Amino acid sequence: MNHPQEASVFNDDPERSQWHDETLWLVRDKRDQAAHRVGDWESLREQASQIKAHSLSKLDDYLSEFEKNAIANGIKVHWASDADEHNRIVLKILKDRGVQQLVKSKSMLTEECHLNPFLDANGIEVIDTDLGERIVQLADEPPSHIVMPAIHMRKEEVGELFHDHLGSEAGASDPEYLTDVARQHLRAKFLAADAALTGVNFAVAETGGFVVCTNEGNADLGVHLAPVHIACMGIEKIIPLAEDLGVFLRLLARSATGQDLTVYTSHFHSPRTGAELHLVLVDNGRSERLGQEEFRDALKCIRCGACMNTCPVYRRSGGHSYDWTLPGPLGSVLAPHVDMDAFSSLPFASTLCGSCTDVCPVKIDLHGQLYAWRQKIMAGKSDSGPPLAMKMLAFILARPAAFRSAGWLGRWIIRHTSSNWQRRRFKGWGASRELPTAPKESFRTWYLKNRAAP
Amino acid sequence: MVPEKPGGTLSSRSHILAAVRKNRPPEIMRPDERPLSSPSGDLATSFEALARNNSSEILHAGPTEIESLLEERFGSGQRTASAISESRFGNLKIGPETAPHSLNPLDVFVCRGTFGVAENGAIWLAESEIVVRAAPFLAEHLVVLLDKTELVADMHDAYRRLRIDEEPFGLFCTGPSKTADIEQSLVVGAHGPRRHTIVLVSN
Repeated sequence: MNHPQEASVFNDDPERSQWHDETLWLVRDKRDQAAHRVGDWESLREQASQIKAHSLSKLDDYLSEFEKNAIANGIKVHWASDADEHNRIVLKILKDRGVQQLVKSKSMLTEECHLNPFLDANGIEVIDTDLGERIVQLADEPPSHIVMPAIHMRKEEVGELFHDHLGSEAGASDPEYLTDVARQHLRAKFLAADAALTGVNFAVAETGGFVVCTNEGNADLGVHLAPVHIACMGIEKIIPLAEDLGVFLRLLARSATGQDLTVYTSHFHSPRTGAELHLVLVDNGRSERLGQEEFRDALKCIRCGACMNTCPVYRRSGGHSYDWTLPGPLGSVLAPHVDMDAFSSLPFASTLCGSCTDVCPVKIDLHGQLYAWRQKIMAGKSDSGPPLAMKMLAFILARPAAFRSAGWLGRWIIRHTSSNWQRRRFKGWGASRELPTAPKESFRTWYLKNRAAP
Repeated sequence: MVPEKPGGTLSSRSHILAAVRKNRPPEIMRPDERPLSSPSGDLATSFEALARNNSSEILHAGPTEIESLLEERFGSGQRTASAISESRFGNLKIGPETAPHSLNPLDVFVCRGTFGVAENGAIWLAESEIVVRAAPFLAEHLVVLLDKTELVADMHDAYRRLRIDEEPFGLFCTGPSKTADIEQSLVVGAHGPRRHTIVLVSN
């Protein structure tokens, strides 16, 4: 299915899609308030964007510097060219140590690599520990948002799911109660795990360490209890200096949820005594994207999700409608790199209003990139020139008399046909819209009558 | 040199680095360092307001009142621990060798913080201050003592003051653990502490 078809499935439940729309807009509003509390938000964005541009232009140097320092700190560094190699590296670390249970905190990279099903098929139990991720894992669904994975679900559905899987009271749907049920269930998993896996928000070349941000504390509980910590990161997550963290951390949580900082911002440089710390650096298409000038900037992304919360299409179509790891404007920019044919509808899942570009903390020209993809996707497909309707419109707009007659005809049709007929006739565009009441006369007629010079 | 994979192909490391070198754009300079604005006014006022906003509780104490305050406010917990060597608080002994699992369940954990950040109410906790990395996450109630004068304006100042690799681990902590993953309703007490108290110590 393509995006419009998937989106219409989401919109089969208008109450849900309206709730989704309004809830994400509230998050966008919290982001605005947080940004306004920072006096020089715009110059902060500019700095962040420039630091990322600089890092990407010397990425190989910074990767080498990071690796050298990380090894000196006692971190075991692995390199993976693609998703498959990443998965095999993680599996080997786990198998060599006889790991049976792995607790995992949020990592969009492992979603991208489809690590969970791979480990599952190889006999390792993976427990997602972020509450939202645990919910979608129990529901056997992918996350629908990168910061709020279960934002598409209502609390009653979560209650039912927890009743089935975790034995919570039937019919209970209070978020506080359900969170506590998950807390008890996952605390036991944290204590029993043989290894913990996390993502990486920022890796610092200068010091050879990395930073992981969570609000729930799940990444920390996992890695500080288990004897093995595996951190997985895309190669673009490198920043040069520790002081750069000051710039990015001021932006990240404010852009994501409107908090001034995440509850836990943990800095890892060496394993704790007696434990192991592994780090997997993953390319999976990133080095290739670096060479594509028009799409390079997407590598600056710090995964805050602000472009999703603000996007009028995402808010009304839900994350699952994109059918890819990363939804929303950012996902629509990245997915066609993976498979242009399969994801050809995604760059069209946008109004090109540019709101995503306006909120992006690292100033990625998201709507510009979506437009560029449209050019690429349509190249060679439109030999026949503009469609008939556009030709007719051009004809009418160029002839005042034809324009006046068309206006009269349009008003007549709206007045004399039922809205059901209109919906059927203009399906697609008209499916969820009511045409306005047609005025008796055109503006031109009114103007000539009332305002025209005598 | 990194050994090559069997079959004579380049290792993934060399392969990735070579591809990045080939595809990277011409060098773009770092932005000029420009001072960014910090919150104006009294740092302590701003810190306290933002910490409360993060659902942290704020207490004030003089250096000689700390012991009695800890005992009085938090001494009723069944399993309590302190990472402050000169304090008598806590009925569990902890040290660098403590197995983290042995601390679970933990009602109260008390430690010192290095400094606070006025723009967001965060406190830096270094590994040497928490002693057991898992302790501040396992506890139901985390109590952090902070010298009232140890405040910086914002995250830029924080990283000017901090050497992040001075210790193997450290974190910025802003309040009790939280989630809003069910319908965006804020729930305090996700996996970590349900309560967070900051004791501001004045001389």
